[in-house]
Amino acid sequence: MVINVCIGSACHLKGSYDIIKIFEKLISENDMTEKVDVKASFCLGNCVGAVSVRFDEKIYSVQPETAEEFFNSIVRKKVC
Amino acid sequence: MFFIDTAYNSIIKHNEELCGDHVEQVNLPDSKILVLSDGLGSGVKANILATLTSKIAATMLKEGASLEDTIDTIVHTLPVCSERKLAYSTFTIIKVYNDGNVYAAEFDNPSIFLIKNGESKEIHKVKRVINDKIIYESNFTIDEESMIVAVSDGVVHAGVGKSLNLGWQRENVENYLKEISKNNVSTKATIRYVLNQCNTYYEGEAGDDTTVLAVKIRKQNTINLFTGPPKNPEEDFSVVNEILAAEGKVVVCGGTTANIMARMLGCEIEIDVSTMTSTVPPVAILPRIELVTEGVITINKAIELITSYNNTMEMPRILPKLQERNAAAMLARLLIEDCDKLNLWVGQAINPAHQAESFPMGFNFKINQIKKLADLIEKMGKEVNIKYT
Repeated sequence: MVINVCIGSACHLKGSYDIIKIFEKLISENDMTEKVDVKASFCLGNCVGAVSVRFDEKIYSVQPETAEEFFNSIVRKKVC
Repeated sequence: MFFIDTAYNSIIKHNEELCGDHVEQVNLPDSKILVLSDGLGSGVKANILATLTSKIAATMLKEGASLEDTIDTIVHTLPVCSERKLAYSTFTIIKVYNDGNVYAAEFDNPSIFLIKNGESKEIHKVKRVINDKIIYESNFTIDEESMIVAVSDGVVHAGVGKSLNLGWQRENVENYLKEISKNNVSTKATIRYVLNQCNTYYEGEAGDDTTVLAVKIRKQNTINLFTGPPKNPEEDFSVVNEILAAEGKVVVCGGTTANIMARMLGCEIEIDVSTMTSTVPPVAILPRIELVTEGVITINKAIELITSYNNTMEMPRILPKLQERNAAAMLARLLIEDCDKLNLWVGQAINPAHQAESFPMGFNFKINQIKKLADLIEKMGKEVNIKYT
C-alpha cells in the first residue's frame, strides 16, 4: 500500500514535510516497511483541505498534529 | 559563431566595504572585451584606481584605440597615492571573438590560465615595454572545450595569515582548475568553486580582494521555464506542445503545471523525496524535462539565492547554499550557470485555494514574483522573454 502526501505549495506550507517524517517514523516503529510506502505527490487537487493525503483511493485532510491518529485509525486498520 | 560566455565575481577584503579589484566588460557585435584590474592597496583608494583603469581600458579599446595610447592614458590619469607616491593598478585585458580568436595583454596580474580537459596549455607571449611598463601580449585561439581563467593575486595568496603559510600558490590553483575542468565545468561554476575555495582558505576573512574571471565559447543556452497552468484548460495541449518544440531546455515549476506536463507526455511523475527539506519541496523527475519543482515557494527561494549571489557582500556566504541538493538551489544554479536566454511561460489560471486569506502567496504574488525573477535575470546580462498563457 502507498500513502501519497501532497507537496504542492499549499500543502507544503501546512506541513507536508513533517507529515512525511511522522509517517516514515511510524512505519519503521511498527515494522510495516514491507507493507506501506510513503511517497510525495504533486497537487492532489484538494488544496483547500491541505495537507492532502491519498490512501486507498481516498483523499484525506491531515495536519501534523493529526498524522499519528490518522495513521493508527486508517492506515494500520487497513494494512494490519 | 559562438556565444561568448563570461563570468566573474569578487570577494572583498575582510572589513572593507569596497572592492579594490574591478572587472569591466564591453560587448561588441563580434567580440567581448574584459578588463580585470587590481588597484594598489585596498578600500576606496584601490577601488578608484581599479575602476578607473578598467573603465578607461575597456572604453578606449572598444573605440579602437591602440594599446599604447590606452596605457599612456591610464598612466597619466590615475591619481598618485599620497603615501606611496605611486599611481598603480594592474590589468589583464582579454578580448575574445565569437570565432574563438583571443587577444590578451597582461600587466602585473597573475598570468592567465588556459585550461582544457584536465590540461593546462601554455600561451605564447610577447614581451613589450610601454611607458616603462612590461606588458605581455598574446594571440591564440580557443575551442568549445577550453576555458580562460584570470585571477587577481588575492587568489594565489588565499590563506596567507590563516590556514596556509604561503597561500594557495599559482601551481596549486592551476592543478585545481585542471581537476575541475575534467567535468566540462561551466564558467559560472568555475568561479563559484574557486571563490569558495579561497573563502575556505581565508577562513571567511579574506586578507586581500579576491577576483576570478572565466571565459569560454559555446552554443547559446536557452531555458524555457513553464510555470502555472494556462488560463483556459483547453489550451493545455497546445501550450505544452509549443514549449516542447521550442529551442532549449525545459523547466517546470508548479505542482499542477507538472501534472499537466506529465499527462501530455503520457508518463508518471516520480518525486525524489531525498531532495526534500523542511523549507523547500522536493524535485520530481519527468523525461525530456531538465528540472521539475513545486512553484511559488521554490521560485521564491531561488530568487532569494540569486539576489544574494548578485550582492558582493552576501555572495561568499551564499556559495555553499547554491551547491546544496534541493529544488531552489538547483533552479538558481540552472538560471545562473546554464542560461543565456530565459523564456518564461506563465500560466494565468487561478488556484482558488491560493486565494484564501490564510494563504500568503496568491495570484498577484505569483505574477509579481515572475516579474521580479525576470528583472533579476535581465540584470545579469541575460535575455528574458515573458509569455502569458
